[in-house]
Amino acid sequence: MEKSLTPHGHEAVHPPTTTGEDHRKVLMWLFLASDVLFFGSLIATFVAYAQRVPHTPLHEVFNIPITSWSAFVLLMSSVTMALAVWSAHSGKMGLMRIYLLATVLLGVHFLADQGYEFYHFTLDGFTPRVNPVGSAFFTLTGFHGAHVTVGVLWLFSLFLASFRGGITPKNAIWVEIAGLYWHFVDVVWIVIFAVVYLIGASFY
Amino acid sequence: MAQRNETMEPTREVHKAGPKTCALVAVVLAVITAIEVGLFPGYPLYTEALRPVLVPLFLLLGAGKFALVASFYMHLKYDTPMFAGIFAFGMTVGASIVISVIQLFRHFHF
Amino acid sequence: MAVSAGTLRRPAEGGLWSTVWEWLTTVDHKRIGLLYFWTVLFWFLLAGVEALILRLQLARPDAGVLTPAVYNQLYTMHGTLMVFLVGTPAASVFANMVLPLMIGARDVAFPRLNALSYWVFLFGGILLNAGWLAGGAFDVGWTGYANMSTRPFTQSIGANFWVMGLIVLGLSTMASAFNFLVTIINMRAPGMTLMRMPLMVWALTVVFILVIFAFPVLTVALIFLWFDRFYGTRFFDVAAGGNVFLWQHLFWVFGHPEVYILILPAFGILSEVIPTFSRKPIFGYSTMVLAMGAIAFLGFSVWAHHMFTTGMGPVGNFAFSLSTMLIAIPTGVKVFNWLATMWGGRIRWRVPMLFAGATVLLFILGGLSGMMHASPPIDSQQQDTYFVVAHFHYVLFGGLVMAMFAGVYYWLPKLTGRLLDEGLGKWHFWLTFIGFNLTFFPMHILGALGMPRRIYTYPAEAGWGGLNLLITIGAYILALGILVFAYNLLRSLRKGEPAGSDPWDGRTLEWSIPSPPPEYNFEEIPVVHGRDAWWEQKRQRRVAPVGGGSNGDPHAPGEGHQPGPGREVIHLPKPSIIPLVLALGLAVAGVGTIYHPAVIALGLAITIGAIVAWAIEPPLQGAVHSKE
Ligand code: HEM
Ligand SMILES: [Cu+2]
Repeated sequence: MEKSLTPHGHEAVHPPTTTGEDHRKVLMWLFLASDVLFFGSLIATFVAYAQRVPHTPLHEVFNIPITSWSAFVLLMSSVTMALAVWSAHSGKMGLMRIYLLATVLLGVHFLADQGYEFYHFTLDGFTPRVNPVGSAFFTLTGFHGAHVTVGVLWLFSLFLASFRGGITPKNAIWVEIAGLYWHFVDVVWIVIFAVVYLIGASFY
Repeated sequence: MAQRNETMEPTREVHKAGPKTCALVAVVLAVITAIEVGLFPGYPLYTEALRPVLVPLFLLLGAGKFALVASFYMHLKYDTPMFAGIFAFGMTVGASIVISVIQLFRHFHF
Repeated sequence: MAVSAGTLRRPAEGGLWSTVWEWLTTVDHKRIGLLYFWTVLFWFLLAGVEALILRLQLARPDAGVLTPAVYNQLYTMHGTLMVFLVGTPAASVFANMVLPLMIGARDVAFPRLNALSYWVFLFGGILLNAGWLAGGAFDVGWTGYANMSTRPFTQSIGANFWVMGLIVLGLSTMASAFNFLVTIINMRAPGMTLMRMPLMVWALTVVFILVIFAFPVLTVALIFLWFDRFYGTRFFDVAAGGNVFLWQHLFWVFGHPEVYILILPAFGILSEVIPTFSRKPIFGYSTMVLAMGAIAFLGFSVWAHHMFTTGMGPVGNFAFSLSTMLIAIPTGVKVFNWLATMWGGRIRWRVPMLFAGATVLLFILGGLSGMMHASPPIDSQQQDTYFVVAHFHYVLFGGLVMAMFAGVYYWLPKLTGRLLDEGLGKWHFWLTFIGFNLTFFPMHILGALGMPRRIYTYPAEAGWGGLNLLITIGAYILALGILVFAYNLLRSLRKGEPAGSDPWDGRTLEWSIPSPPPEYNFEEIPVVHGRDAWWEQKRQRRVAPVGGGSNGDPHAPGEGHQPGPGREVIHLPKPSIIPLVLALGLAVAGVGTIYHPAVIALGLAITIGAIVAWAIEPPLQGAVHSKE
């Protein structure tokens, strides 16, 4: 049998769980639900300030075409991620690697876009230090970027582990929970894109 | 070693969100995104008449994408309701707090 | 091969160093529970000493014991410690000590994560307090109101340690909460349905739910403050358009759920101790569960009652006043149920029950004063006076700490195998109870007279001198009670009467196994057929508790503990030093944010290294207990 990540055949010795679900998957869902409040507080702060505080006009600094493209890129990375999870469960390891790598590359693309965007915003005088809205914007999108970075590293390490036999259908759960995390980061961006970019630049 | 596990026995999860579903959802997601961007002031779908409903429209479209990703890609549609419940609890508490804080700052505190 | 049952007190095989190493690498929830317990006790004593110094200063008008600057640091750190290093971890203390035992589990879902939570808690606590050594502690109150806490108004380095310490502590609290929630969801013994769980488990469930949704909000507020102080962002910079109410909202969105995080473990303890010593099942089990569920939801809807005087307008004040009064209903339901449980019961007034009974009494008083400031017009008189100080000490000391004493007398013997002394316990109880009321009751009056909170002194003409002296005397009586407790604890470790497996004729599963329990807790995973599972089992099968009666030797594994034929193979989690290293990395990075980026890099390097090692290290060790 393939060597799993846990030499003792981790799954085998654990008594079945009460709900029948894997501990790690339950943990991930709890974490994601909790992270909603983290991003919620950041978004609330941004909107609370954007609606009242004098600040840099957002429609002048935001570059909607570029952000739309990177939002699309991240959305498509969710598609490849979902396919990676499906491949892992189907036992198609080769395919899974391709999709994992595609997800990683799309994620890196998104991060590069964000770097580009941040750079140009600061050139235009929109910085974390200029006013509370700038602080809120960079903190919110920055923490989102940090989440993406963690996801990229995680998925890439799964990609590498798959060559050493670390990923088998038996522990496809690793791909699945990394996938949950990745999709969550994507849905957070869906909200940020709508609220911060589209609504923000339409009205402020 | 790598060769040996190229194809292996599938798990019981395999019926969840296969390539067909994934692709279909992807198309819908892309279309909604195109509509969102199109509605942005100055872009083809936008008219001045839409301005008063622009906020709810963007929120609605965003929520649609959110729901699609959560139910299909995150398997909430297939998995035990427990996961949906956990997530829904967080979303409910989160959304109510976000909305209250925004409203409080809109009407008071300045 | 079988391991001896008394793992918690097993004499070290390889001398002192190997004992120390065992504790540093432990992933056993019972040991981690003891580590938490001693650490929390230490912070409790430190915060208590801080309070005693404060009281010396306030004993007389115009006293000069402390400078105003030191006074501010002392009350700030006293409050911060009591809330974040005593009250908040109370859930982790008791969850580690007994939660897996109560649900019939062999350990928690993620033993290494559990160890990580503890070590992060330890280092976070040290970080939080480090300001004292680095040149002065934080001094704007445990609520850390911005912009008072931003750099232009508070230059002290203690503020930096406070912010970093709380961020790090939040990580520990959340990690612990995730871990126990998964444990509760996924590791209950067969037959232990949700509505059969002991109420302590329910209470902790609600605490952990509140933690995972409330702490992220605090973390965000702290991050804003951190960025403002360190990197020049302008969240709370009023000149740039920042708004100080942002901090207040985020802080209290966290803060009110936090008070339930603090009090619910106490509710859980009461709901176990009272039925056991009244020899009756709890009255109204399902309403108790429902009440806690309501608290979990409503707890997030009342935060702005801490902000009635900030100009939220009549609508805002009305809404938050209403929700605050609503949340008192489920709380009241619980009080009635405890009283109904005692009603007609054959109550044994042992020490845990004394503390539990007193808790109910004191909590009623604290709840009533809470109800009073739920009304905005009344609150605008009481806000920032000693009346509020009286309120929260009645709920926090009278409610939480008194209940924790009950819990310690009740459950600590399960882990140490030795009872605390009953006579000393009564001294502890009466000194504490009398001292407490002498200390905190007069504060209601002082508050009504208008004495503001957080002041370092007051003029003689105010006429507050007499009551303040009384309060200080009460505080020292209270302190005497705590000293007796500390002595009782230490004494019990060596000379305590052996507890036996079931010293109180308990109702729940933890009393079905020896004290201290074997590493793997349950020889065989129990099957549960109803509430009060162990009472049921005792009644129906008339089984004697394993490990002997109350006179049994706690070191001797009981009859039922020799692995017999047909026993299952138990794989125990493998001890690991990685959690400690990872926690250290986080703490070093935290210190780095205050001093130098190079130190951040070092801390992160340690952290990342530890994460990689964690992923590679096998989590389980071989079978310890197999068929022979
Ligand atoms: C019947 C239930 C309760 C009600 C209606 C209530 C209500 C209130 C209100 C309205 C305030 C704000 C007073 C002011 O600052 O002017 C307050 C303060 C406070 N409450 Fe309660 N409370 C209740 C229970 C609790 C519990 C169970 C705890 C903790 C275990 C608690 C801890 C606190 C603390 C620490 C403060 C002071 C916060 C500060 O430093 O400003 N309360 N309470
Ligand atoms: Cu409150």
